[in-house]
Order: sequence, then C-alpha cells, then structure tokens
Amino acid sequence: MLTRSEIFAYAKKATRGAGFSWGMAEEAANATVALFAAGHDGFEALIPILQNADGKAQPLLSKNTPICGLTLGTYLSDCGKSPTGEKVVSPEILNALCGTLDLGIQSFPHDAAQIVKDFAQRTYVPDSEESRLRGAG
Amino acid sequence: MRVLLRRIVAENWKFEAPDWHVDDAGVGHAVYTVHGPDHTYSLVAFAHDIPADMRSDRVIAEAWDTTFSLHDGIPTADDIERLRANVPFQEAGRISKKELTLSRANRSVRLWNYVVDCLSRGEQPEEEELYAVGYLMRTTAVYGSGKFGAADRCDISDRNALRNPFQVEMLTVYLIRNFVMDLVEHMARVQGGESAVPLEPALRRCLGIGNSTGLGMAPFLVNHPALLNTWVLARETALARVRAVRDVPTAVFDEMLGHLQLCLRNAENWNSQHEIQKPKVVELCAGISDVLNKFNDIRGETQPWNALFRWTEQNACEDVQEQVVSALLEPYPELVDELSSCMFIDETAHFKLDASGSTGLLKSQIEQSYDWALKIDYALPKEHARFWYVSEAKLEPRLGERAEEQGAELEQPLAIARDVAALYVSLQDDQPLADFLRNNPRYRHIIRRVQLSQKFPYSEIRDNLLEANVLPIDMLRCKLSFFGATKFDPRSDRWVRICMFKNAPFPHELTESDNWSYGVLPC
Repeated sequence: MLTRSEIFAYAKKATRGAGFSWGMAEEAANATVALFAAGHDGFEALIPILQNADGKAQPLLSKNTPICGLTLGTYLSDCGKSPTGEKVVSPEILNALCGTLDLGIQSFPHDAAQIVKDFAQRTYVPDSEESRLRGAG
Repeated sequence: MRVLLRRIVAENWKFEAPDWHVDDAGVGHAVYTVHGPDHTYSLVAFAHDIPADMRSDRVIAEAWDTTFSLHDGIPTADDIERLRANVPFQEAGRISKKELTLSRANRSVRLWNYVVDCLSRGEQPEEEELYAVGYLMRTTAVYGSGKFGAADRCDISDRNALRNPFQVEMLTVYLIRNFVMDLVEHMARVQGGESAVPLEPALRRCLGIGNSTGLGMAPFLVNHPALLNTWVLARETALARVRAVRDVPTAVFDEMLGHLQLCLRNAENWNSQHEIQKPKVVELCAGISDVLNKFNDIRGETQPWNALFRWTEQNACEDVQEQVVSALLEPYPELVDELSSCMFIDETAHFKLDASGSTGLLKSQIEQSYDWALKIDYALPKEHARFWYVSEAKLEPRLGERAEEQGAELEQPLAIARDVAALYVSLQDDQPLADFLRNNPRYRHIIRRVQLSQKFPYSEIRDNLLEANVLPIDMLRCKLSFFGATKFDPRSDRWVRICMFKNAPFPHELTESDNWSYGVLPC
C-alpha cells in the first residue's frame, strides 16, 4: 500500500510533469491526498486534469472548455468561494480544493496508475555518466 | 540525539536483551526491543556476508553489511520473515505501516577487522586507532516518514516521544550502535573462542555510528521552511537566555571552562582529509585557544556570557563562534532543555495561501524579508551556474552545471532567491493577489514562501543556492548539527561523513547527566 507521502509525491510530480507550476502541483497533490483520505480514488480524479493540461500553455484559464478543475478550484479557494456549478474537468479535484467531499473510509491504493507514473517521470533528468561521476549521494 | 536519550532516562524506558540469531559466519538477524511508557519499538537487524567489491556508501549501492528496520511494537515471526524478504534489498524492497524506518550500514573494514582481531586474541584495541575513525559501521541512509511503505509522519507525530522530527531515526541509530557492538564481540568470540574478550566499557563508549550523507538531504531544509524556523528559533532563544544571565558562580565558570576545553580536545581529534575542512579545523583549534586565553578577562563582566559571545563574534571565525555558542548552552540545562519541546510544527496547518491581500502588500513583504535576494544580479553566469534536479536513475536530488549539463528545464523549485527576485520584478500594478495568482501560477510556490516568511523569520537560507560556489555540505552540516552530530568530515563539496552517538552512554549506562557530546575530561 502506498503511504500518504508517496501519494503526495506522485501527484505533485505528475501534475508538474503535465505542465502545471510547482505551486499548482502542490495544490493538486494536497487535493489528491484529501480524496484518498475521504475514501475516493484520488488518482482517478487527477488523471483527467493531467490529460487535459498536457501540451497546453499555462495558465489554463476559462477560455479553455471545459474548465480545468484544478485551476478553477485553486482560484475559488483563493477567493474563499465555493463551486459555482460550472462544468469542469474533474469535479472531484474541484470539490477537494474548494467544495465539500462525501466522507468515506480512508483507502490508500496499492500503487499509482501507470499514467500517473508516466507524467511523474517527466520531472526526472535522465542519468548521465557525467552527473554520476560528479558524485551525488 | 540528546533529546532522545534525556527522554529515555526521564521516562525510564526498558531495554530487553537482544533476541540473537546470528551464526558463526556473521549472518542472521537480531531483534532489539525497547519499551517506553506508551509504546514499544524493536530494531530488526539483519547481518549479511557481502563481497568486498559490493560495499559502497553511494546511494547506488545494492548490498550492505547490515540492514535494519525499526518495527512499531514487537515483531511476530511472520513480521520478521516479511522483513527478511524486503529489508536487505532496501529501496528495492517494501516495508509496511508497522515499520517506522528503513536503514543500512557498512563496516569500516580496516577498523572492524582490527578490533575483531584484537578482541579474539584477548587484547584491547589501541584507543588512538578507535579515535582516528570513531565508528565500526556507518549508515548510508536512514529512511522514515512514509518512505518505501513506512508509517507516515502524521501517523506517529501525536506520540510524545516522536513529536520532534527525526526521533525515530535517532532511536534507530542508537539501537544500531548496540547491535554493532554486540556483533563485533560475537565475531571475536567466533574467531578466538575462549580467549576472546569483550571491548572495555570506556573503549566501547568512544565508538559511535558513522553516517554518510549526500545531496539527498540538502533540499530538506529548503522544503521545510516552517520547521527550519522552529529549529533555529529554539537555538536563538537558548542563546539569548544564556547571554542574559547576570550572576555566574565560580563553579559555573569552571564548568564552562571545562566544556571549552572539551571542545578544544574534540577539535584537535577532528580528522579530515578534505581541503576545505582541514584549514577550518586548524583555525577552529587556534580560535578556541584564543577564547580560553580570553576567558579570565570576562569573569568580572555583568553579563559574562554576553561579553564572551560579543568578543568571539568580533574576533573569531564562524566555526569558532558556533562552537562557543554550543558550549555556552551546556551549563544551563534548566534554561535550554525545555526548548527542545518547541522544535516541531504541523506544516500542513500553514500550507494554505492567504490570497485576500494585494500584490502591493506582497511587494512590501518581499522588500522586508528578502532584501538579500533582491541584491543579487541573476544575469551574471556565476549567480545561476547550478541547478537542482532529480535523477531518473535513483530518484535522488542532484546538482548540475547549467552551462554544461542537460536538464536545466527540469529544475526543482529550490531557486528561492532567484524566484523571489523574478516575482518582485513582475509585481508592477497593485491588484488583488487572487487575480495575480490566477494569471501567474508560476509564482504560486514562491508566494507561499514569502507569506510563510512573515510568520517564520528563520524560514529561509539567506543565500543563492544556484551560485557557482555553493557548498551543499554546508546545508547538510546545518541539518546534521541539529541532530547533534560531530566529526563533520566532508568527502567532496556534496557529501559528508559524520559520527553519531559517539561517547553516548549505552542503555545500562544511562544517567541523568547528558553532557556526553564531547566526551569527559580526563581526571
């Protein structure tokens, strides 16, 4: 079973890998963990956010339809507002950020979905012999 | 380390005799169980026989002389078999929420063989030989906090004993030290039979556990600004309290003198082969000698420790200043020790950004707290010569040369100074912060930090971490010094060896006195 910190790390890296900023990736990771903690599948909720953002210029503002749930949810949360009923990509992430979640029993997954890992992978720099020789850890 | 041992003494923790299953080849396992008032913890230690060419301190190693996990409670036979199938493989294995840490250690081969040899013949090893290295084994990683399946920090942080970060890691290393001593004596008995002797208590005591720490630890201080603030704040508060002391009895003067002499002896025994560290140690020895010469002059001052601190600040290098500050705290446990209970924080409570203000407010916050970052000219190549990244092969933080290596576009968000300066320049018109954030999400992480810095004045390393001459070992040293580590020995600009629990009492030797960091003065 994955731990809370592993879920957070996968979600943060994957969101960054999909093209969001580090600050937005932190918001997405918190939302993903909150979803799992409330008994939902946080990765299933995150994946459409990643796929929708992939290849698009940031920020994903409302001209893009449907609206990115991470982008809108973060903005509404910043403004202290609740969801307005607009159609969004991943209402689950939106609700985790600024709405309410149906509370179930915390259930952490055994592993991250491959697509989440693939997005996370994009944040890593391929190893070179040069970097190894420079002596990391 | 001392916070942990003080608690163990105060709460009268009980250590069980080890459950020993190591064979004559030095292969097997042992369990070290300790009972606190509310919880029981067990170090499950595995001893291996590995070929010499597989022994490496690098994070890329795949085999170790010993591997460990700290189990939450007393492990069942099934737990031990589960751990045996995973712990020896470290990062490639998996532990569970019933475990708190995952660790491994390698022998200091020459000293290990020498000590086994001596003891097996019924002789004690030479003290100088032990002093020169300081440990029989060194750990190359101690993972906790949800790594590789271990319990998350939030699962255990409500326990009194574990509220301060890294207490499980410290307990792990303390129990590893017990195991290593038992293992070396076991191997001496195997080799020497009836002629073998145990290590004399005084010699045993002067051995700690080495630790090799690389770049992986450096980003921690940057990634945990609120926690860094609590650590530094505790230290600054402790220092302020001691500097304010007015009446100092002769006995306390003499005690302080003793501590400074121990510091000098520690510095004189500080072996480093590294070009950066060698001159620093020489300077440290000379500087402490100067402080000792000055010592009698301050006896008449109204606030003598403040006078000593001021004198050191004006006349000695940074290493000496830091050493004097550490010594100043020693005679005053009643002023200082309680501050260790402030060295933790619930970081999640401070995660949420406050977007209710304006960019004008943010701008003034930057001017107030990040003037040091705004002074740097980031257009100069040397000011952004490096970049921090995570390597694909080992998923470990690394430091690259921007002009020479690929991957700068995948930089980690550790360029605090540069990013704050870029944010500052972009704050042209006064507008609601929420709107600015919506249109400029790339500044979100750095705005979060600027807001944290308003609550937490010691949250930032006030330097440019991309600079051409940045020394990651300085970041490692800062963190390790909060653990109470000694014998800081850089092996390059980015990894370091230290010693932990050197001179610390073993479980049967624990008493209320905890002034063991620098050993005891010879009578």
